[in-house]
Amino acid sequence: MSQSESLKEYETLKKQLQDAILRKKTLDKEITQIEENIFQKETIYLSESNNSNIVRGFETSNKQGSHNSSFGSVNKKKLIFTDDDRVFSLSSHTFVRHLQKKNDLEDEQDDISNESTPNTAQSNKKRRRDD
Amino acid sequence: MVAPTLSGSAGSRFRQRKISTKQTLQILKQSQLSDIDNEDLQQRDIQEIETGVDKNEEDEEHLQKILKNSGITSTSNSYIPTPDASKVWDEAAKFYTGKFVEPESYIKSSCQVEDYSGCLYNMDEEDDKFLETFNKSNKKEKLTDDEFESIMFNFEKYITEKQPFLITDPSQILPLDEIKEGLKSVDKLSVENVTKTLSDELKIHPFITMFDPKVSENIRPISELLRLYGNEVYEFYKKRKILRNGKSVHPTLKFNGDDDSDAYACFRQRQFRQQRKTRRADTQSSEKLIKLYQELKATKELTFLVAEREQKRLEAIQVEREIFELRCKVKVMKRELGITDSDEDLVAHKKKKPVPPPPQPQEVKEEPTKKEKKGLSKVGNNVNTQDKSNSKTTTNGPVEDSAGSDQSQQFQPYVKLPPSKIPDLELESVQRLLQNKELSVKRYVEEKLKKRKQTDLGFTNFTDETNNPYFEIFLQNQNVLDASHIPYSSISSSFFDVQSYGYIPDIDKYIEKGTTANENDILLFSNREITKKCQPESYNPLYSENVLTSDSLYTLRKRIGRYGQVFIDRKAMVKKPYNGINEFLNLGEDSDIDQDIESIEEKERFEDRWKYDSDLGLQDIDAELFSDDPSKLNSISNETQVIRFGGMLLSKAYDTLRESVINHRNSLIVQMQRMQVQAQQKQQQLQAQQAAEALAKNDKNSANGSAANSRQSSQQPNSSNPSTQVKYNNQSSHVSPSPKSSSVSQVNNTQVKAES
Repeated sequence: MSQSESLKEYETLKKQLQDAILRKKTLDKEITQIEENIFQKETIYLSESNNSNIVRGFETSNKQGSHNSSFGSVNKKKLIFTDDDRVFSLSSHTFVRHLQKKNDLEDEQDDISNESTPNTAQSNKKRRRDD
Repeated sequence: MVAPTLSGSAGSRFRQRKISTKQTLQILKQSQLSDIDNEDLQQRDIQEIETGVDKNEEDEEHLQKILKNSGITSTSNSYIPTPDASKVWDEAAKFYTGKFVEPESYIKSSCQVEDYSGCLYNMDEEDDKFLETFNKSNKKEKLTDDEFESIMFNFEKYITEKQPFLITDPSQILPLDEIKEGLKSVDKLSVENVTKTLSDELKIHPFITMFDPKVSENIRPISELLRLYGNEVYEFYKKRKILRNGKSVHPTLKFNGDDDSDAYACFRQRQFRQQRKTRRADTQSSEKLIKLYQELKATKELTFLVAEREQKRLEAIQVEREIFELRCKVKVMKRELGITDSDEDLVAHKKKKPVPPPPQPQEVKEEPTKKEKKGLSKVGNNVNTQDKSNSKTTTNGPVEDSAGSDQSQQFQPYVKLPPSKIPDLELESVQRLLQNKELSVKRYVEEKLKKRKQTDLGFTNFTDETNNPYFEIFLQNQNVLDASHIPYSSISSSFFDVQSYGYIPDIDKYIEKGTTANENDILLFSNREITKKCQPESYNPLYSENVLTSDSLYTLRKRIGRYGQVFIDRKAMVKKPYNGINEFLNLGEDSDIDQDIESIEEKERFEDRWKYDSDLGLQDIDAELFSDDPSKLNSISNETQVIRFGGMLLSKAYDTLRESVINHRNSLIVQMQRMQVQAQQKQQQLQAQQAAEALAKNDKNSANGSAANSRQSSQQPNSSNPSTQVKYNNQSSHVSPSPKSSSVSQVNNTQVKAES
């Protein structure tokens, strides 16, 4: 009797465990997706904001505004942002690791496909020149 | 009457217009002067007094009073009253007990933080009294301070919103029912509801920020509060509001001096003087506002995403803990019940790393900058590539969080480098080039090995003792399909066909004894018949002068002579039958000297021309093409052989020399020890001297002896003992570091076409 009961309990526990593992997996997936999403949006945000954003402050935008008033200098400087500015995406440790893995992978792939890439680049250039 | 003089400070205030001839000016006669507004003149007089405050602040009530009375009373007694700040509030210490801990970073604040935490209404003494009596008289549930504040705040907010001009007639204040109705809808954007909206949007309950007090207060929703206490509190509120003449019950800071009727115009927050408005300034500011709005929107989105991520992370951690606990339970139960399932769920699986990066420590050291550049360009600004890589990696699945072993993994530092400094062209790193080279070489070798295997197909190694194969070989007239792979084939001997081969059954015995096998002991296989008579081959690399080799039949050389003549020299590996000079000598005996010289020259020229060319074909030298010597089969030239054997012998000689010297010294040491024991010290010294002499002698002797040894060892291969021969063959392959050494052993390992 007790044996069968505990067996039952064991089964339920096991099922719970499996459920939990599954949940964990989906959660991890979701997290990575969110992280990717953040990274993308952040890239867009940082590259669009003219050096004045929530990370760097808006002082420069004020200055630039005054500059613009005395005949605009919109494309004065190419705007730069570094990894330091990525406070949103890189505030996650797992994402940093994720990025790194990705880079490693890409390095390998680059090494493999290295022979083909320069050719295509050249052909692109040629085409451009033809245009 | 005196015409008003515009001078001093007044002069700076009134803009003086230039008198132009085109503009008509009014001319006033003395009789007309009395018509000018007296007050106007008076005011102008007053304004001439330097007040020391801004122009728009001269309306200050108290200042005006003083100015008006300036002529009547002395100005020393009159002053502008200021709020009293001289008293010390004794109870302050009682309320401000909290200890302030300085944070590590600077305190940054853009607006009053307390505005965003809790209720904006703060009770004063009057409220306190009211609430106390109210709670005493009321038998219902107690109305707490926070709840009271909440009610008051909501009243205040609604009234100021709906009745901004209540000051004109405070008694017109809205009735409670209307307020109740208005408060039903919650304004999501208002300041006091920020926390609520945020918590709704983020789905975080309870939503506690760092600014919130640690003790959570449970305030009943406003609608319920109004239902329970609305009437009483409203009456109280109305009373206070009317008392305050319709202004805010709660004192507020004066931020802007917009209110002209304000008596204390001097006491207000200073503002920068407004710039003059132009259309451009207007559009600019509106553009700025739009930009700011977008900025904030994007930021909000990002922060929300971050918040979501953190929430998910929290959840994940919780689930992980749950998993851990469940695992513990399941393990215990499993043990108790004795179940032997698969333990798959019980083990924390660690993701295998896709491919362990090949260890290249030096290369990494060599070019860290390039790697960094590469890394950055990957994390760089290019959104498109990012998208691509993102989509690529999402398929890779989630990153395993739990793995602790990953901590050892080194983190590549994120390096700042402006994208403008990264050149557009693809940089070819040295490392990559080297890798490619290595790869291609590997590939090539692998290919060759494969082809070689293909050519080896159908061949079996027959010999069980690789050191004594001697074959009778003849050349097959086979057409080779692809000659390019012959050098890589272990059986370039596949061109040869074996007619018979000899085999000594127990060769190790002979090697041990150092004797030659008898003729009768040797088996000779030929045409699938075994005959017992065969003489083992013998070969002396040092003393046989003309070793027949199977060197390449021809060496070809391109030679460019005068006028760009191109010669292809063929040099046979056999001696050219020499008859030219004989011929000439024969001729020389008979003919004239002139003719001789001519003919000699001609001959010489001819000889020179064909010096390196021989018409001797394969057929002519067929007989001596292939030597029976096994080590010669793989077309190792004589010279190479000589070098190999020489090197081998040298090392051998050196070894024996060293050995003998060491032996000698050892014996000397033993001798010395014995002498030390036996003789006295003086004698010992003498003996030591003697010994030293003896040592010197012996050294010489040993050198001689070793030379003799080496001679001996070099003579050893003379004897037609197959064992020594074999030995030397072996060693020769060891001595020579050239890649052909392997081919030597291949020769010994000669493969025979499987006949059966």
